[in-house]
Amino acid sequence: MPRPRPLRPAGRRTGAAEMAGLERLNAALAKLRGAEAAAERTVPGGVDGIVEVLLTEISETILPREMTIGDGAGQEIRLLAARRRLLRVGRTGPVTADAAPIPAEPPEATGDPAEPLIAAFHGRVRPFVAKAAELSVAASRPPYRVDPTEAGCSVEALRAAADRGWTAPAASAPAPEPRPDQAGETATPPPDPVGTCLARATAGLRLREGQIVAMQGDAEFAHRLTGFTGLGLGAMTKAAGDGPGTTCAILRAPAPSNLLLVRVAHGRDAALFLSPSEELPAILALCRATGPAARSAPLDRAGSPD
Amino acid sequence: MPLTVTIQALRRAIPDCRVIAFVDLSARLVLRAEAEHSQPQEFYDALCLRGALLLGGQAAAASTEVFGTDQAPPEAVLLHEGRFELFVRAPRDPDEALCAVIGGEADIAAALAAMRATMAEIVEIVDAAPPAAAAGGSQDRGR
Repeated sequence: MPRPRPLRPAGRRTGAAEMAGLERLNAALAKLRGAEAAAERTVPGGVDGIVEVLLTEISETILPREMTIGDGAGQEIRLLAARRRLLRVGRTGPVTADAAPIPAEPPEATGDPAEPLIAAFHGRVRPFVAKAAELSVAASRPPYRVDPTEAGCSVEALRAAADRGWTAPAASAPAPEPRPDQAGETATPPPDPVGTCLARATAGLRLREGQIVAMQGDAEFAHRLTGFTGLGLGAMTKAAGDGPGTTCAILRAPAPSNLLLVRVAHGRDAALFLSPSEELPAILALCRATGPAARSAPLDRAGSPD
Repeated sequence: MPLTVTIQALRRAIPDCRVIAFVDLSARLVLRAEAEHSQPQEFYDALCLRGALLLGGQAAAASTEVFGTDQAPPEAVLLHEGRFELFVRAPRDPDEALCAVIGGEADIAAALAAMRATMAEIVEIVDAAPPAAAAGGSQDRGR
């Protein structure tokens, strides 16, 4: 991923002369945007100015791009843009080198697809920007396929919502998503053992209904995992079955390797990944927590059908 | 110590262990078994099949490419219908493995360690046995 470009609200600098100079510099940098030399920008107008920069970036994005906004304190939020439209707003979370991508699912399958995106952008991105100590933005090609028919939301609609003073609906205001280490203190998010496992993996693939939708981590290992999906994954899948909750199958590498090859499946999603063997207790704990309820059920009489 | 006694001791040593089986993965045959409660043939057939799928089939073969080695994986863990199934391959005969079916709350790392130690004992038993006995033809299902 390219080096993040820090964005600073100009109001945090002092001195009128300095401001005038900085704004001239901003204009010059804007023309050079995308070049590595223009890595740092100072944005006038506070939060509104930064939001406008993001909207401008979206309006100039034609090919799919995943924009990662960091707050300088270890948190980030992701946007997916394409065809000059905002397609998705990813969940917030801690910055990690192998962070899971935005879920490959449109925000709403029915109704006006723009509404949840407007709510997500103004309800989550704007507060995130407002609270950030030092913002950075990086854009990269998404490591998953983007449906070219995904409607998304136009920049004009996002601007119009801001102009009319968008506020979150009282009954359905999007709650800020908890950080993973605070998950127990707020509403319980839907379990995502697949994403959680991938976030801890050395390398991994996210699969939906057997198709690779995202790849992350060490490139060489990810390539090997892709090869494994040709023959090996089917046998692992058959062994684990398609029971309710989370299923998990693990192969340990022969010594002296320290790796585990793991398939974790939950619903339609699955993760195929490599992790150090020290991760075994954490992986199993996660699968237990989201596994079928019949933990203490007696053995069935005939095993399970295969 | 007879193989059956060794397997019985292993089941008692692992908390919440329901079944221990010593199987031939290629033949999908249970050579010895010790169970908390009697289980039908279909149960052992399904257990053997899952062990063979993980340690003896395409998954094992393809995993060598992933791990960058020419050896098949020595162990597998499966979370299946709320319980764990553990498979530990024999070090000398890759077609033989110990299988354990244990409750979902059990300590998997401790169970695997116990299975490795028992597998080492089984190797000694097989080495010490005369050839005909070492082949282990009869099945001794759980009691």
